[in-house]
Amino acid sequence: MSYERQPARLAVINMRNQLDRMMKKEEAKTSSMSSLGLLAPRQAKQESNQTSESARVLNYMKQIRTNMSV
Amino acid sequence: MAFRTTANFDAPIPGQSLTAELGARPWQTPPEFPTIEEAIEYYIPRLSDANNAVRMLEVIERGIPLTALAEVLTLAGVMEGKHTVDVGVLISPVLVEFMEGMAKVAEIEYTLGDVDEGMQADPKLVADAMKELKDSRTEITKEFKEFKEQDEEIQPVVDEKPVGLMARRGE
Repeated sequence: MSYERQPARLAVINMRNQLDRMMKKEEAKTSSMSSLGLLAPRQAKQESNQTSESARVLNYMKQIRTNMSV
Repeated sequence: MAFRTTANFDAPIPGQSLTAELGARPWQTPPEFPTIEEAIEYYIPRLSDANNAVRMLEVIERGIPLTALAEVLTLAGVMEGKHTVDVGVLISPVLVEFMEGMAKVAEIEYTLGDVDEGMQADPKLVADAMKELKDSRTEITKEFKEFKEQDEEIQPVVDEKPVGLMARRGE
């Protein structure tokens, strides 16, 4: 069986890799986050404003993964 | 280089889509759930329903990949006119994540289906290649040792000071 004519499978693989990377990045960010103030970078705020379909899907996947982790 | 592995004749007959009135099929009508959120709200309660969940976990336990299950679910949704194909592709990772979570909670072994079996190398071939590599490595280290010993045996060449009209003075 190949990836041909299986776009959903390819989407699953790519999105899961993306989610893994995103969660690792967030873990690293929370451990190094210290500056909170008016002059702090607004990166976190910008990320939450992302409304692309893939970003929304990633967000749902993240919520499911964190809530259903045993 | 990728080669086509699916059957060449496993495709619709040209013109097959024109054998019914336009709009007569469910997937030709506007979808019931046009957004990702609505489609997820349709699937998740159905999957988490007690009867469906037990059946689904049974299927997962049999070794059916989660990606294949998600694909079947979304394809059925498209055929019923519930959502479009692109929404189906987009919600597939969410469904897989949910099914994986359910399998983990139920402590059931599952197959994700993210590894292309056709692309995997034969384990015997890999073992043979590794053995060959190991043999060649020992040979290389042996040759390197011999070369090093030979190198140590060679006496260093003593530099002769240039003598002549063009030779630098004071060196």
